[in-house]
Amino acid sequence: MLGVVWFMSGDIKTDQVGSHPVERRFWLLVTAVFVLAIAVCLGAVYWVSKPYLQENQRAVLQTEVERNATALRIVLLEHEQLLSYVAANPNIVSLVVGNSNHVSEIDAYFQQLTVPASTVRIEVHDILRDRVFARGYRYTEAVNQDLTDQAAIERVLEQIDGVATHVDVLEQDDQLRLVLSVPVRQFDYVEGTVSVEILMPMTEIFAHTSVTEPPTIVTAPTPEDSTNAASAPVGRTGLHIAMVANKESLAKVGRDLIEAVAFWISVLLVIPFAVFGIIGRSVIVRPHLELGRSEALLKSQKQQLSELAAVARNANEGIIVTDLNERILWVNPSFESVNGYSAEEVVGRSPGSFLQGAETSLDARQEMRMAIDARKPVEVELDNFTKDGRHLRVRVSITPLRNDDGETYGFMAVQNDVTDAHAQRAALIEANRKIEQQALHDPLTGLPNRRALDQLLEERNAQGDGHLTLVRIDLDHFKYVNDTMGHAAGDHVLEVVAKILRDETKSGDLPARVGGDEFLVLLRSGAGSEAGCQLAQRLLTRIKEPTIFENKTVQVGASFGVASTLDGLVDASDILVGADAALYSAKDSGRNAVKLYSPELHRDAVEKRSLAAEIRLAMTNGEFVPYYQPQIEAGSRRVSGVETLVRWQHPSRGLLFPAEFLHVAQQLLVLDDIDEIVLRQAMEDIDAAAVKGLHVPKLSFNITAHRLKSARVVELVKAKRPSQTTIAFEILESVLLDDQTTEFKFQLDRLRDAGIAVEIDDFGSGHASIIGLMEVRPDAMKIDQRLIMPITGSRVHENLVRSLVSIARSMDIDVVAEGVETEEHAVLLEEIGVTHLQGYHFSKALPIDELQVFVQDRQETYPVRSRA
Amino acid sequence: MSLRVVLILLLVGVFCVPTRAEEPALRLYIDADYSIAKRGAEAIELGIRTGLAAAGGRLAGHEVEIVPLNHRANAKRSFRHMQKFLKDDRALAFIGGVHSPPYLTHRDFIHDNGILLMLPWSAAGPITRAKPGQENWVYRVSVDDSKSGDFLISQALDRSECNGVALLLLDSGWGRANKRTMNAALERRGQEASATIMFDGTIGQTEARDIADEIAQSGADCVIMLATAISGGHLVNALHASQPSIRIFSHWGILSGGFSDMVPHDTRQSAQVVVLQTCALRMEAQGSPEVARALSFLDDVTQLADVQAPTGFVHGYDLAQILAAAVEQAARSPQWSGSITDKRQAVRQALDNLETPVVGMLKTYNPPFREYSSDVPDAHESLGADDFCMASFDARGRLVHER
Repeated sequence: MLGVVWFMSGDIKTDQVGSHPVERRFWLLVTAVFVLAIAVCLGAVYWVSKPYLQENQRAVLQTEVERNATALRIVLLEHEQLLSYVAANPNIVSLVVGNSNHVSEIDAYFQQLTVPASTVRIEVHDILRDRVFARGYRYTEAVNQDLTDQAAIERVLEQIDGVATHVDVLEQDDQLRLVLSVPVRQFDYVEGTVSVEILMPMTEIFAHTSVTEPPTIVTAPTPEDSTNAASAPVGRTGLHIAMVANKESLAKVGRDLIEAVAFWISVLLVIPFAVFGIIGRSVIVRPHLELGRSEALLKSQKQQLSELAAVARNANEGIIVTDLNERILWVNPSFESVNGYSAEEVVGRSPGSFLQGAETSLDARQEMRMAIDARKPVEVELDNFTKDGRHLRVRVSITPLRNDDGETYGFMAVQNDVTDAHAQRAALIEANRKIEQQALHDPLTGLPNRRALDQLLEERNAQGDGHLTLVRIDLDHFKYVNDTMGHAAGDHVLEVVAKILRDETKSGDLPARVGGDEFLVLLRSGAGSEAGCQLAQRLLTRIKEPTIFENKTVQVGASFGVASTLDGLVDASDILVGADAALYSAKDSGRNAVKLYSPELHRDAVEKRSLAAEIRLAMTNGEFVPYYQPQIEAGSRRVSGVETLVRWQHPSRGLLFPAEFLHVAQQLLVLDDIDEIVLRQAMEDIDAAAVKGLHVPKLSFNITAHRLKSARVVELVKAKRPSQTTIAFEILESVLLDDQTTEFKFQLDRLRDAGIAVEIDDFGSGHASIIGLMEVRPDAMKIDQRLIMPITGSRVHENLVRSLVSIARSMDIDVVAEGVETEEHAVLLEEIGVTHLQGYHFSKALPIDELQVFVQDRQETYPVRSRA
Repeated sequence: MSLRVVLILLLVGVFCVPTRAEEPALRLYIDADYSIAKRGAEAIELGIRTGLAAAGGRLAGHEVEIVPLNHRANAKRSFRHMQKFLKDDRALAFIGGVHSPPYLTHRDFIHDNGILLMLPWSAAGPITRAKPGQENWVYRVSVDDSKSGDFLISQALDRSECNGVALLLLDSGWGRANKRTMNAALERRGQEASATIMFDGTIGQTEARDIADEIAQSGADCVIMLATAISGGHLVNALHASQPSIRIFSHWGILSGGFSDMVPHDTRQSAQVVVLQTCALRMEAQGSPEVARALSFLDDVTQLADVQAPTGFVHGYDLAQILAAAVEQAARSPQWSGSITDKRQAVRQALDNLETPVVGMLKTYNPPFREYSSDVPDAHESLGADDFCMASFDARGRLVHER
């Protein structure tokens, strides 16, 4: 109820008069009286209703207790009648007095007896207090325990007269368990008892309402003057049903009553109090408040005006107040000082007529005009001019002035001088533009650089139809110009080429310099590979033309690769790769050429990509295996070593030779890894063969000069080397030409320290010098098969080989001849003095199992002779 | 009541005579139905006391205390009395009365524990018959049912010339035993019962009427009845109402009390109700000096008919005489100086071998008992069929000799 009042008063407060102390006091008073009235009413209800409630409680209690006593009596009566019937049975009487012991007949009798459901068991006791019969109906396991105590039987036996029924209560919690006994009589004399144990849920017999506690069975009645308890006798059993009032429940009834009364009194009282409050507020409070508020408002407005005037006078911004016709009514001192006009000079004039000039933006003027006409506030930035003609950049805020009725009666403009800030902003924009230009352009040629190209590619990919055409340009012989004529000449060439690119490309094409002598043109949207090739041809023609630099003729060429997504071979993401492939094709074809990324090139690229994937898989799967070509000692014809060669055991294409995959492996930078796999496997194979008694004295392995730099390969040899086999690295003859550096010598020393022999491979095929050979001092030289194969028919070749053998012998190094095709070769070479022979005459390269057979055959055919 | 007072004064006087004062008193337990068969029980007690008085008031110089105990027709209560007797080191004999079931039920207990049981009013045949090898401690001075059945059949058929006999018997061990002996007696005569009806002891008027109708339909003109006083009263009234000409031969069960009050004299006369008795009334009628002597101990009594339930009185009297003689004889034996158990044994042996005849109201017992064996089943029976007579009721409901 209080909530109702507070809500009502709150409504009024926020709605009309706010939280003025007078009003708050008024509503507090109304509320207090309201609460007091309710309290007085409740007190009256309480004192009037209390006796009535107490009387009602007593009446309810008595009714309940009598009803429950009757309920129990009915239950007991049912059993009592049955027991009386049983007790009169002649067999029972005879049993009790000891005349007969016909237990089977009695048992049969009890079997046909229909007993109430609450019967647990029935027992018969004799005059000696002994149990002479028992029968269980529920919980029969308990029958062995005597049901009735001696005292209970005695009590029944003593009751010779009257009803002589006795009841013992054994348990009354959730269950009511009691024993009812009646006498067995012979000629009206009590000679024994028949007892029944009864078990029933309390709730099945008794009921009670919420205002009473559950009933209990007691042997003495409750005092009559008790207010909270009552009892009633259960027939003539001597038992009583007692019940006490549920105080909590009764208290709740009282509370409910008080609450209900309180609610309805509140509801009824709220009407007169609300009427009083509303009328009292209008008649008493409001007039009082109106007067006070008027005085306060007047005072407040005066103060606000005074403050506003001070602010306007002291503001740094120029302030102008005009009428609706934009005639100036008032300006502040800052306006005078900024613009150079005195107030007298400008009052009555339109601000635009003397502040603006020809340079003032028409857009800004128009925006201002539209806002003024629409009586809306506006803020614009525009150019003004002072009285002495000085330019000012100002930000002007114009606000319509409105009276209390919302009618516009003039305008106020605030003029803020932003000349300096404007100049700084313009300088910043220019600086940013320059930085942007530098970031995206090549400073030498002024052409867009790779970054600009990448951005454009992204934009074209994002917005257009996704089709791109690229012309990739690489200058031929530019390095030569740089090396021979200096970098200035090189720069000159680049500037000339850039100019040609600008001249020959059309609007929408983007020429760019993407590397030292690399250029690229991204063609306009819609231009295909044909347009690209035409452009390339034009460019080639012009680039090949000689130019003059510092009175010298300079001439370069160029190779062009053209690729277009319109040809359907590559998509936008691969367009650069395609153009590169075409460019390399042009260079391979002899330079100064234009090549289109054709289906053939595309097929090669796809194959190479596929092969690359297969190589990576093959490395994982162990498909690279070593093959061994035996080397034969010239005199004994025994196996003196093997050269290890790599083969690819391709799962579908069969055995592949190095020429078929090494170039791709080189591009993938996995040559070193393949070498390592093969070397490791070869050492393991030869070691395993040695265990079987198949001895290979030397294991040769081709290795690049680059690979020599790796410490890993040396470590691998150290770790895996077979104990009785020399490991030899075959190095191409070309190393003798190029790499006679200190570092190279250091690497050779490291090999020798590790016990690795060094052999020069393909000697005689290049430009190796004798000096170089002396510097290296290899353990053996292998003469190229192109020198060996013809010796049987060419005296020149024979003599040449004799000379080389002579040189080797003079340097005390072994000679290995490659390409020994026939026995004639072998005999001749042996005669010449070659120490080791290798070629198809003896064996091609063999897998390890075949090599083992070969070595075994050789060992058996050319056994080692023991020295005499 | 006055009789009781006189007796008590008499006994007090007797017991106060200062004889061998050092001898402790001996106790005689009377285990009888002082409730339902109150008259019978009291008659027994009166007979015992009178008999003892006639024998000098002492037993071998010992004072005698009578301990009356009411078993109220309950064998279990009787059993408790037996237990009490055994614990009493001065209890010499246990005198049972009116009903047979207590002693039939506890027969083995009695024999095995040496309870010297003397029966003045228990008719069931097997009571006095022990198992082979068992010491027999039960002595009877009363009707033996094994003989009563034959006697009653004889009275009905031979003496009263009944045409058809119906057997109306209490459905109890007693009744069933008589059923066997009566049917055997009929069979010996080449006859059979017109009807045999066993009835419950708690029978009321309604059931009695149904039984009477059934007997009427059987064509019997005589009924041999074994009933208690109350059930017999209902039955006789019903039988007479149903068939006024019927004649009734009753076992003595109806004498336990109240029969003559329930059945009017006219009915008794019309139905010619006769009751099995021993022959004391005849002896009185024949001027027996012992009857006169016995009655002389009683005040206000001039004839046996003045005594309620005279059978109990007569048998109790004769029993007390025999017991006194046996104790006198036992007291001379070395065992008498032993424990109470020894004394009982001495008395038992004296009873089996009583050297002097005992003069009683019914007859002179010479000897009353003999040593028992299965060959001599009647050794502990002091009375036989020759000692049975029939009695009728006079107008006052008293028994008189049936001539």
